[in-house]
Amino acid sequence: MKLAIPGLQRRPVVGELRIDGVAALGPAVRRLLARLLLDDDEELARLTGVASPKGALPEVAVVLGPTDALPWLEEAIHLGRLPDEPALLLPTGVCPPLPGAVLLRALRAHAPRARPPLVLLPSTQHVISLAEARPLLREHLRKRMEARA
Amino acid sequence: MQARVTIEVEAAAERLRGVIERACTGLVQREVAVQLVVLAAVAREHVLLVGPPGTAKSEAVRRVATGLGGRYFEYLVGRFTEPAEIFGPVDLQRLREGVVETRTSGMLPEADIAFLDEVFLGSTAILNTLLGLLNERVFRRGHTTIACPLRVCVGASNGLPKEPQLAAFSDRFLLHLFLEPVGDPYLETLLDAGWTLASQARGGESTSDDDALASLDALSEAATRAEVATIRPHLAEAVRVLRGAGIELSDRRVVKLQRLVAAAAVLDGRTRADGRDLWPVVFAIPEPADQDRARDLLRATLETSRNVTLGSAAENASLGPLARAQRLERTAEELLGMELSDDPTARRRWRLRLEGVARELDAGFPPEDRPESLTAVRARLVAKLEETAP
Repeated sequence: MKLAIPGLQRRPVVGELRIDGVAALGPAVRRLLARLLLDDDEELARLTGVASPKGALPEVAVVLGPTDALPWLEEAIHLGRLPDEPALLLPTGVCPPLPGAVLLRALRAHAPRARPPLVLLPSTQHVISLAEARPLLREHLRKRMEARA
Repeated sequence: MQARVTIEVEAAAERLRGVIERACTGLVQREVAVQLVVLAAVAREHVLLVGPPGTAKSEAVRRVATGLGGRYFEYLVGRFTEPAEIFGPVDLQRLREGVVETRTSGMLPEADIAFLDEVFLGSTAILNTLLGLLNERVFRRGHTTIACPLRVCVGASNGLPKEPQLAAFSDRFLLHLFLEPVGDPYLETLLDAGWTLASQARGGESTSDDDALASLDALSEAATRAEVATIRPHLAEAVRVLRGAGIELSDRRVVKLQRLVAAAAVLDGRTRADGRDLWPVVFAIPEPADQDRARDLLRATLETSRNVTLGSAAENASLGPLARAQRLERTAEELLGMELSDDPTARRRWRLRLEGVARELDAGFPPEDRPESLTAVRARLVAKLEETAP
């Protein structure tokens, strides 16, 4: 689901820096999977994730969890919950020009089937539902990796 | 002449930076406490550390005192503590001559740096004598009146006192810092540091810089002469914003804020205060909830905060990007300079810490708005992560 909203440029973060998730797009998804497979089971258990259906272009994956458990990789998009609307995650440093609750309502009106919490990626205009986020299982990650080999 | 003064200030600030770095080594999440003690010492003010027992309050102060050198006095005050335990016993020989004099050798009146744990438990006699000592740096008792060399007194308590007379006493500590136990993500680091600390204590390791106290005094002197006129309207505006939001700041605190701002400037190596130096205002607010509100209310004003010597404190007060960038650079340099261990667990943890810095850097600064120095550090971080990839 895509939606263009003006005025959502990234700026250096002023104030508390919250990192609640990481998104990867296109080729970065494979690198995200590879990086996750380096985690031990205890670390993986702290994370949940969702991925776009097979064949979606560009492919998107989102991983959620405590900041210190999140993987780092080049070109990852770091996500933070809006302080006034925790059910909406935006790339860190993006300050919406309207209250979070209003933005969430607008997104839901535009994509009624996308159940909150939602991620909005302004660069690609993706709206991703996190309602189906599931624990990350090593076996599933491995299968997804193999499917890309 | 001005250039020479600036060079001297820079050199003194650098020396104190070394003291702070050594004091913080092995202490987890206590950089702000260490830095505020130094800020207060340069401003000739005092600090109150509020937090539960076991949060390394005394360790932080002891380390600063060790680094600075000079005489250090530390005492755990109790309800039944006698004034003599803090200020010294009465000189019995002189008493026989009808003169009440105090033998202050090795006691608080002769200390350069003091730490008083559970300070509010002191009796009225202790607190009244302390008031004079903190305010005027003069010890008066009986026939004894002596000028005290005290640079900074750090008081500690589990909470702020509710009684009005004690609240007035706590107001004499211009800087208030509220400490929490170390957060869960840092527990491994805490355990590590605690173990190393214990080994060092057994080995009797401690380092002090002979000239550090002289540098502190030089900076104090420079702070009293620092140019603060241009920042005054901005300081007044910040106070107006705070008072407008119902945050109380007594006139005494407002006037003394200038000293903190001047001290912050000289610790950043400058003799003229500007917008980068307003961040200590947050720590001069007595209540923890009001400090949090002040961070929000003054967000735009404090956005330019930075301090090369007190980076963690500036960042904590302002939550500003420049101070954050400074800290990230410092942490990255520290991690990049570490010798790699052969132990796979240690290597893995080191990598995760590198990733943590890279993550905070990427999340906090979009590439187009990243300070140049941070871009360079990031390139080295990424190269090291690739080089050491499993």
